[in-house]
Amino acid sequence: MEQTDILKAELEYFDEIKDELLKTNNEQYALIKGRNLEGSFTMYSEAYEAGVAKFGTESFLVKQIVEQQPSHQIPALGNCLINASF
Amino acid sequence: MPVFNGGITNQQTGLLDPKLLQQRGPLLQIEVSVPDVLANKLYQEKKPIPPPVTGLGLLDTGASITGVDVNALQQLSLSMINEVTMNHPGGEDKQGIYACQISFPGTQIEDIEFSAALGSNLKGQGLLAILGRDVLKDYQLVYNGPGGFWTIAG
Repeated sequence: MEQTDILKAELEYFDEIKDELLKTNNEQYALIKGRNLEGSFTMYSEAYEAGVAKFGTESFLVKQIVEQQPSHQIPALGNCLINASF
Repeated sequence: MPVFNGGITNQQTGLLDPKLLQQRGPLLQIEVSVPDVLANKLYQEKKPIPPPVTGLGLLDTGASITGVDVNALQQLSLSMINEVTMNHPGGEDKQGIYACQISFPGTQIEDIEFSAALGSNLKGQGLLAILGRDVLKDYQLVYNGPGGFWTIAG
């Protein structure tokens, strides 16, 4: 299974229910398996622990419920600056 | 508060070398492993627990998120738990997030029992991980360029 296929169902389901989740569970962490919301938690680690307890090594999604998901950057990696020399 | 001083020693002089620190950056030996909660689950189910992966971590205040080498994550049989948008010069991509534990052997720095780390291609850079601001937010970091050493406390 390609990287992009893992969690595809869960990510799509999260997008479908996001607006509803924002009303009731804003900033909490949703635990999703397939098309089931398994719970929402205050901390990322709590959601992960609940996921492991229920699903073990199977894949599951842990995603924070926010209006806009943050984007990230590692400029040194993206700009090939690690170990660069002149 | 645990304190650790790091630097790179010149093999010939036996002294900390500011030039080596400039070239290679603030590196420390780290260990990436299966989170304890998952290890306990594997133990209960009588499944093998992949051994930790050791390597070099680069402290990077420019990184908004911690990245761990994808090969190491595969060795640990860790599954993706989320995806995030990564901005880079070519635009943006979606990349996977993995839960792992990060330890700092040889120091008194406490283990990070849960880190949501980005799967990154770091092996070619000689790195196991880039420790970003999501980790560094809990530490004080001082970089002494002329002295050729750095200090982390927390």
